Amino acid sequence: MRRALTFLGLAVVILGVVVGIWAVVSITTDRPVTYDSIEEHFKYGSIGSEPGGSLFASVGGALPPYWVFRSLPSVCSDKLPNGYATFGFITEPGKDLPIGVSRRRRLGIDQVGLNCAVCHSGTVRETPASPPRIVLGMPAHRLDLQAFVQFVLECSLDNRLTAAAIKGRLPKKGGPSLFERALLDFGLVERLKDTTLNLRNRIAPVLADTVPRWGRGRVDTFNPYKSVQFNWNLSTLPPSELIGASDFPSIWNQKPREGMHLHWDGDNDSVDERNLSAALGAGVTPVTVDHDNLQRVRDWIWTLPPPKYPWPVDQGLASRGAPLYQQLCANCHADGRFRDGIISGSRVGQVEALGIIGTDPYRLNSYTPAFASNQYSLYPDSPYRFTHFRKTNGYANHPLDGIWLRAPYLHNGSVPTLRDLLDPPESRPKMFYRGYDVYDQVKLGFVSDVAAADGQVFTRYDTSVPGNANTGHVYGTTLSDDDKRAIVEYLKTF
Amino acid sequence: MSRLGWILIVLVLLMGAVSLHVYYRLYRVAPVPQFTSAQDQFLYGSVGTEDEHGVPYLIWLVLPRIFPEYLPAPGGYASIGIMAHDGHEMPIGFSKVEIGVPRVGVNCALCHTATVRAAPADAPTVYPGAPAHQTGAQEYMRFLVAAASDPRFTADTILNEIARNVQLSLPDRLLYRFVLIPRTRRALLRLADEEPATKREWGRGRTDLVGLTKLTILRRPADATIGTADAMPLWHLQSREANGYQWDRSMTSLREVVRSAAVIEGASMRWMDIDTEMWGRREARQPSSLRRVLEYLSDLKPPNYPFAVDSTLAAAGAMTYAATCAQCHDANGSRANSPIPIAEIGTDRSRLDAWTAGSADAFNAFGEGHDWKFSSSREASSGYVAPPLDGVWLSAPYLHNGSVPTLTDLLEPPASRPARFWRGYDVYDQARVGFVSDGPDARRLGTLFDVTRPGNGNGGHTYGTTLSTEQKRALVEYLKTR
Repeated sequence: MRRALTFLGLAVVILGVVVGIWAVVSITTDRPVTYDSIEEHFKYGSIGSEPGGSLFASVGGALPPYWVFRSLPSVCSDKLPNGYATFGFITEPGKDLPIGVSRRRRLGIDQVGLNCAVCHSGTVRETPASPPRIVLGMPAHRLDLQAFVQFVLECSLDNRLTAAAIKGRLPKKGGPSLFERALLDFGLVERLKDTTLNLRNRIAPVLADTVPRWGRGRVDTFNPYKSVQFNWNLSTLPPSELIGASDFPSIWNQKPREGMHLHWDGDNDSVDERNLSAALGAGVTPVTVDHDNLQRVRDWIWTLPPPKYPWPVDQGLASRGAPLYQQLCANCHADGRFRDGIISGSRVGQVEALGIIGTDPYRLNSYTPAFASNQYSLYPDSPYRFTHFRKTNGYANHPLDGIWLRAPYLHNGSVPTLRDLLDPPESRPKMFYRGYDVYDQVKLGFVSDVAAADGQVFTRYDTSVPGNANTGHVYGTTLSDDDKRAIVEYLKTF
Repeated sequence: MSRLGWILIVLVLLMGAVSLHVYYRLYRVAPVPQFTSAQDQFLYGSVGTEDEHGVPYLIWLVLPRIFPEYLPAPGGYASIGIMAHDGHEMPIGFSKVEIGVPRVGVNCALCHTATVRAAPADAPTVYPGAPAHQTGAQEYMRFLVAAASDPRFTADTILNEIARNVQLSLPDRLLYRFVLIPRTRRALLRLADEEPATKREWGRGRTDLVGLTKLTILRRPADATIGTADAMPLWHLQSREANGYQWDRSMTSLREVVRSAAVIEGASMRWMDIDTEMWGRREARQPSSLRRVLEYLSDLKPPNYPFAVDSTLAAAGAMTYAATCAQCHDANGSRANSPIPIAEIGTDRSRLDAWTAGSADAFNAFGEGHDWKFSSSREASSGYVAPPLDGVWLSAPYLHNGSVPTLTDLLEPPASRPARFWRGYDVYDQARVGFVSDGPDARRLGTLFDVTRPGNGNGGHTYGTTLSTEQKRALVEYLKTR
C-alpha cells in the first residue's frame, strides 16, 4: 500500500514536470514560418510583428492569432461577405494567408502579423479582361488598411466571436496544436478581447467619423503611432494634427536613397531607421522585432530594380520630352539614370518649404517636434535607437524611378495621373476613384473613373476634404499640350 | 564533508551571487558620460542629481505613457516643454547616468535653455543659456508626484510598459519589482514635501528658487513669501561678478551660484565633495562637471536676433535708447548693473522680500565642513537690478517675474499691459518682440499668467511708456539688434 502510494506520488510529480516542460517549451518557442526565396519571404515572411513578450501581458501585434484571424470573415460574414480580398489584399492560389500577412509561432500560439509587403505590393492590369500582375515593392494602391483594421477590431470584439465559434470553424486536418486548443478553452478569446479593446480605445480618435477616411492606398503614418507607442490621448489633439493620410510609397532601389530626406515630409535620412520605424507601424515593438528577417528585406529592396513600363513607348515623343524634363523637373527629381543609382540634380532628396511647393499641409503638420522628441526614445539602450528623425517645414523631392506605378500622385494621392499633374490645380480632377488596377496608358496612372468592379467598391476621392487638397506643385502646368504629352511619354522610361 | 556543509556552501555562494547582483544594479557608479562638446555637456551632462533625487531611466521613460492624464496635453514630457532635439536621447536639461541602473537627473539647462520657432510648422531652434520660457519645472514635479500617488503606480503596470521597450533579465525584473519601483515611488512622494514652495502656480519658465532653497537646503519652515521669478540669461556672467548675481543681487560668487544651483537641483553632499575635489584636476578622466558648466557659460555670447530687422528704423530707435534706457541698461551706463530701489522701479516686490538677512546667514552656514561651503550670499538688495539688454529679444516675457509678454507691451503704461496671457509657446512674435502669448495654440500649449495673482504684478518700470507710437516702434526695432 505504501509502495503503491509512493509510486502514485512519483507518477504525479513526473507528470507535472512533463506538463510543465511542455508548457514552457510551447510558450517560449519563437519560430517564424521561413521561406528560402526572398520574394516569398517578402510576401509572407515575419518581421516580428506578431504579439510576443509574455503570455499574460503580450506586447506588439495588431492581429488576432492565426486560427482566429482565419475565422473572422466567416464569423462576421455580414460585415465581410467576400473575405479579406474586399480590402484590396492580394491573394495567391494555394496560400492560406494574403500577401503581407506572416505567420509565426509565439507564446504557444500560431500568430499572424503584418509585414512590409502589405503596404508595398500591388497589382496592375492592361484591361479589365487581362490577369492582374503582382508587383512587389510598389505602393499598395488598392489596400484599404483603415477598413481592414476596423473590421479586425470590430469582429474581434463581436459577441459572435467565441471559442466555440472558432473551434467550429477549424479544419478537420492540420488544425491547431493541442496547446493552442487548451488555450482556446482557457480564456484566449477573452484575453484577445481585452487587448483589442485597449488597442481600439487608443486609436479610436484616428478612426472616428470626424477624421476623413484614409481610403485605398493611403495610411496615416504617425497618428496611430502616437497612441500605440506613446499612449498620447489623441482625442485632445487639435484636428489639424489628426489628419495625416498619405500614399504608400514604392520601396525599390533604396541604395541611392540613403542620405536623402525620406518619408513624404523628408523627416528622416536613414533608410535603415526609416525601415525600423515603418516596422513599428506594422506592429513590431523594440522587443519583438525580428532584426534578421527585416535585414533580409532591407538587403533585397536595397537593389530591387523598379519595374520597367511594359507597354510600347513612342520613342520619338519621349525624346522630345527628355530636354523638357531636364529643364523643368530634373533638378528636384533626378533623371532616368536614378534607376541605375546615378543622382543628378542639386535638389534631389531635399525638402521644399511648404510655401514653395504649395501642396496640402495636413500630412506635414501631423508630424510635430513633440513627436520627434518622443521618437528619440524608441529602441532605448540599443544600437537601433532613433536619432535621425527631424521636424521639417515642407515636402521632400523624391526620385521618380518606376513612377508609372506610383499613381495617384503627390503625397496625398490627390492627382490621379501624371498628365493631370501637369494641369494647373484648378483643372485637375476634383473627384475621382482610387483602387482600380487597370492602367491608363495615355494619362499614366490607374483608371480613376470607375466606382466599382470585380466585387470591389473603390474609394471616392474628394479633393475638397481636409487633407485631400490637390493644390501646389505647379511645375510644367503652363506648357503646351504637346509638350505635356512629351514629358508624360518620357516618364514612361523611368 | 557533511551534507550540511555542502548546503551551507551552496547557500553562501547563492547569497554572494545575489549580493553581487544587487550591488551591481543599485550602487555601482559607472563612468559618467562626458560629452565632447561643451554645449552638449551643458545640455545633457550630469551635475550629480541622478542618485537620491533621480529616477531610474526605464521608469522615467514609461511614466508619461502610463499616466498621460497628469500631463496637460498629448506629447509626453514634451507637453510641458521638456523636449529632446536633434536625435538626442534625453530632453534638454536631463542627464542619464548609470548608478546601478541607468538613472535620470536634471541639470542647469532645464531652466536655462530656450527654444524658438519662427512659425508653428518649423523645427525649434535651441538657444543654450537663454531663459527656458517653455519649461514647466513645476508641472514636471507635480506630474511625478501625481504618478507616484496613483494606485496604478505598481510593479505590474510599470514592468508591463517597460516590457514594450526592453527585455529585462529575470534578476533585473525582480530587482525592479521588489526594490527599484517601490523605492522610486517613495522618493517621488517625498517630492511632495517641496509642495509648500510650489503651492503657487509658477507657470512655464518660472521657478520659486528662493522658496525651494529655503525649504530644501536651509530646511526652514515654509513662509508666506513668494520668490517666483524668470530664469536669467547666462551670458556675460563674468562681467557681473563685481555686482552680484540674481535679480536681487544677493550672491557675489559665480562659482557659488553654479554650485548652489546644483545643490538645489538635487546634487548630494557626497557628489559635491567629489566635484569640488576634481575642480583643480583638469586632466582627470572625470573632471569637475560644474567647472565645465562654468567655463562653458563664461564664453557664452548672446545670440543675434534671427529674423529681419528694419535697420533704418532701428537706427532711429538707437537715439531713444540712449536717452531713455542706456543709463541703467547699457554696460557703460552710470547705473548699470546696480539695483534700482524698489520705490523707484515700482515692479512687484515679492521677490525682494523672499530673501532676508536671515536666509543669507543660514545659506552661508550651509555646507559647513565641506570645501565647497557657501559664503557669498547676502540680503536681497533694496531693489531689482537693471540687467544689460544683450540678447533681450530672448528674455521674454519681461520684468523679473515675467509679467509682461513682449517689449511692445512693456512700453505701454501698466494699466494697458495684458492682464492675462499665456506663457510657454515658443513661436516668436516678430511684430511685438516676445513670444506669441495668446491664440488657440498658445492657450493649448502654454500656461495662463494672471497679473492679479500675488507675485505676478505687472506694474512699474514705466520708462518709455510716454514715448510716441513712432518712437516706441523704433526703440523696439533697435532692441532687436542688442
